[in-house]
Amino acid sequence: LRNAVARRLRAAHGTGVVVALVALALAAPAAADESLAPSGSLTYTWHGDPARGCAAANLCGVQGALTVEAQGTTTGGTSNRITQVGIEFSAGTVRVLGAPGAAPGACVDVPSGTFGGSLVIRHGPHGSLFGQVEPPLSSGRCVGPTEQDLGGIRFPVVKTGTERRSFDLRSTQAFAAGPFSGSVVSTLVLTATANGGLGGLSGGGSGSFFGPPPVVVGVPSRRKVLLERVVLRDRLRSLSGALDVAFSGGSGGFCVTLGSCGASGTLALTLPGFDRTLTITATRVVRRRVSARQALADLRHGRLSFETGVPPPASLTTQVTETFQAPDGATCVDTAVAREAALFFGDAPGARGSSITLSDPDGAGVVRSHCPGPGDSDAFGNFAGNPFGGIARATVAPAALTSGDTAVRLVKPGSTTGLGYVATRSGAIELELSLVRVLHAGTIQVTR
Amino acid sequence: MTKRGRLTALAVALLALAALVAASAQAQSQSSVLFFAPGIPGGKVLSETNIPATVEGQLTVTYHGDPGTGCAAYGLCAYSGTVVVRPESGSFAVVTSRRRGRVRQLVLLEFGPANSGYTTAAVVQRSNPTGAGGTCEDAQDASFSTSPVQLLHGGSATITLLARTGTLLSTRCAGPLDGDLHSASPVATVALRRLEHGGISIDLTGARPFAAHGFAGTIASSIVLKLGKPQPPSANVTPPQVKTARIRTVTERLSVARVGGSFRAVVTGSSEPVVCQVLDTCGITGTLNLTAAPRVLSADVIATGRASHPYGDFLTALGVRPGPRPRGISVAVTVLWAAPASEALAQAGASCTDTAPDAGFLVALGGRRAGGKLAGAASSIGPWRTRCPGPSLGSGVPLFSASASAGALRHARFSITLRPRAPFGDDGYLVSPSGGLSLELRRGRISQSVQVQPTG
Repeated sequence: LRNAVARRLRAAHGTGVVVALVALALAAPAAADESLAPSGSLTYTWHGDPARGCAAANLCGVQGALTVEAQGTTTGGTSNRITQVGIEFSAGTVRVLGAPGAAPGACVDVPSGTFGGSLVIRHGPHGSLFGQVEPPLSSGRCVGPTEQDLGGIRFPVVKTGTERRSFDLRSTQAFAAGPFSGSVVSTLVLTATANGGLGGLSGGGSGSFFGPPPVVVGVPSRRKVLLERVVLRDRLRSLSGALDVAFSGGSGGFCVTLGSCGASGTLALTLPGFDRTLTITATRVVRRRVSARQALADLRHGRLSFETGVPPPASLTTQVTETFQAPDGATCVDTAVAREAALFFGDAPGARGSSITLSDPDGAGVVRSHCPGPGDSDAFGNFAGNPFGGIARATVAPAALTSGDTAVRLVKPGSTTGLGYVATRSGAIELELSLVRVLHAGTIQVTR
Repeated sequence: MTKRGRLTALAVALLALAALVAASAQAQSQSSVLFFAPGIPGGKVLSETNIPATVEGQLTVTYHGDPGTGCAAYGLCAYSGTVVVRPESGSFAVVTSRRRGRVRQLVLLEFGPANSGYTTAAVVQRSNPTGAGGTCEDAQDASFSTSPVQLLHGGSATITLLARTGTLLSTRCAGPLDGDLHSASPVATVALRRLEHGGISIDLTGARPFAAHGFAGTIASSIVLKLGKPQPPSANVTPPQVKTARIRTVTERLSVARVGGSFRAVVTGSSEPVVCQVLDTCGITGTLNLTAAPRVLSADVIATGRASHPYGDFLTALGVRPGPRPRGISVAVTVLWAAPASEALAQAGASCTDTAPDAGFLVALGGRRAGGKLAGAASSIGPWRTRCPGPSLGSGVPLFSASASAGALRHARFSITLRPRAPFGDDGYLVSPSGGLSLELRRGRISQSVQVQPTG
């Protein structure tokens, strides 16, 4: 979720760059502690490694590359002895040769989308500094490393200067990713510039949003209101089942650049070992106080609205097993684990009751393995990353929240025509929902 | 298209892009974007309605070098390929503005960011009679590509998918520009009233041949825009816990008295073997040059601070009134210009030469370095791509550092100096800028506005 927020902020930055073109005058002053000019790039390369079992997966001929360039200017700040510097990256293009079935063997993808990514520098142990790319990069739909593989890479940082600090992140590091070995070459350098520069104006930055701030046309008056409220603690755990996706690569169009023309395959997504409690809050504005019994009755009758929330910890572990079959019959089979999915709890859209939505807020690609294949939006539609669509959803009757064990099925039947892939979904992840205790039922007064 | 018409189209595209994106960033009010470019229906924005749209289908352009339209002159005869575009989402903005007492309407179609990662994919073959050819494969996100919608007498709007200054087809591979295919583009005409009400489908399907600027081929579109409900900008209500302040903005218009110097960039293909093979840039070298003096679209010096500061302090900050620089008022200079940029590339004994007519720069200076200098950057904006293969140089790539002397704003004319930045990568190309430019700016009319803004 932290990454999802960062992505949204980055999106705002991307737009802010453009906004600033005509509206600089309205810009809020940057809250920059120090201005830094980033330069250089990160270049990831990987290849099928016989020592890591590439032959079994038909991936020994694979060679891939991904380069992201530092762009714009940025700002750094220190708070509570923690240095935070964000480097904005261009949207990098993944290029892979030798993928199974791809003719003439190339796959091209832009997994990070319009707004690229960023690298954040933090303090490590013993006063050291390290940088990590957030959200992690990956090979996207092409054959290669997943976000989980590349997210763990830490770039050593050498700091120079005291008042005007510069950061040197140049290094070469090896990594292993499933049947691949690879390296990442960093030529990143953050050079201190004078304070008071234009921050993110010339392309990215982490200091502030340079768009014109909203003009206040009205400040709502505050008033006290009575809220009928029920707060429950429920337990949710996975039982069995999988979301199944059958995909095919189609012909013509984007399948050519993705190397998926004529390919087919399957995905099975599961939530292994999922078991956590969640706090559920449902409210409505009332004119008179109501009793606890009445509040619970109103909840069961679907008269209260559920607050959208994410049960902590925000991210959960998903596992995908993929079988990819190239037109020439070559098959790639792999299983990968991702820790980026989240469950959202909220009102059921268009119906009484609540909903539980499994989504991938980061767009990390919870269905991606080391084989080529569709991404989340190809497999589950454009709203795979948000709580209004998601990867799968279960509708829960309000009465079930206050009862004993209730079976809940996360499903999303249907089909999606994605970029280079057509996917058809079936199956369900079976969950069990049970009430742990009622934390509150009754009426509270709030100021709104 | 006339020079003025092209300038207008570019200005509309750039500034409308800013307005639309601002709206989508939800950091925008109805009245805070002002159109200031010459010759466009600018002015104060009175209202803006956004109509979201989902985009179904895709656009496929198949092409080859065409001797009949001069491919030999450009060096494009060796190229043939396919570009596929799938925008996924978009929105129409209907903007009503007032300038000099006259109310005008502007309608724009903007394509949104792609959930799938990118919108445009190209596969382009390069033949080589004397040796091995190559295949360029590239993918780009053409989000925020904007098409001005032509308003006709009688209240109709003509929607053209490929705009004269659009970037839907733009990749690093060789291929036609959006503007080349404008006249053959899928087009639909709808009543403006129906457009504003939303809930309709706009059919942009069809197939047509084209031949222009060295390429010939076909455009096949299965694109249908499905409009949702109109979304007037909601009142920007700041939450009670956010502090606000009245902010005064004093803007002085600038005009360009003189432009000197030159811009040149050396372009080379990536040395990374996988990248250069997939992008077909192995051994490619070339240059980018500005071939004519820039056409300035807007230039301003702007002072911003709390409205509690006397107006005179803002004039002092702008350098119009003598006195020490007042605290709490920030000053920035922006210059937006367009200039033709020529590209010449050589690979395997063949060359390709072409010009991007509307390459743009944004010069932005603010803050002060030690010694009181104003400092900033000149970044690319607008379509820099030509029909030859080459770097994309998307909007916001800084090409120069920019500075103005400490006392510059105290003079009726002042200069901005642009110096080339260090070589940088463009995901498959290395770009090494050189040269330098100077802009001499002349002071002009001053205006001010006061708005309530969040300060937290």
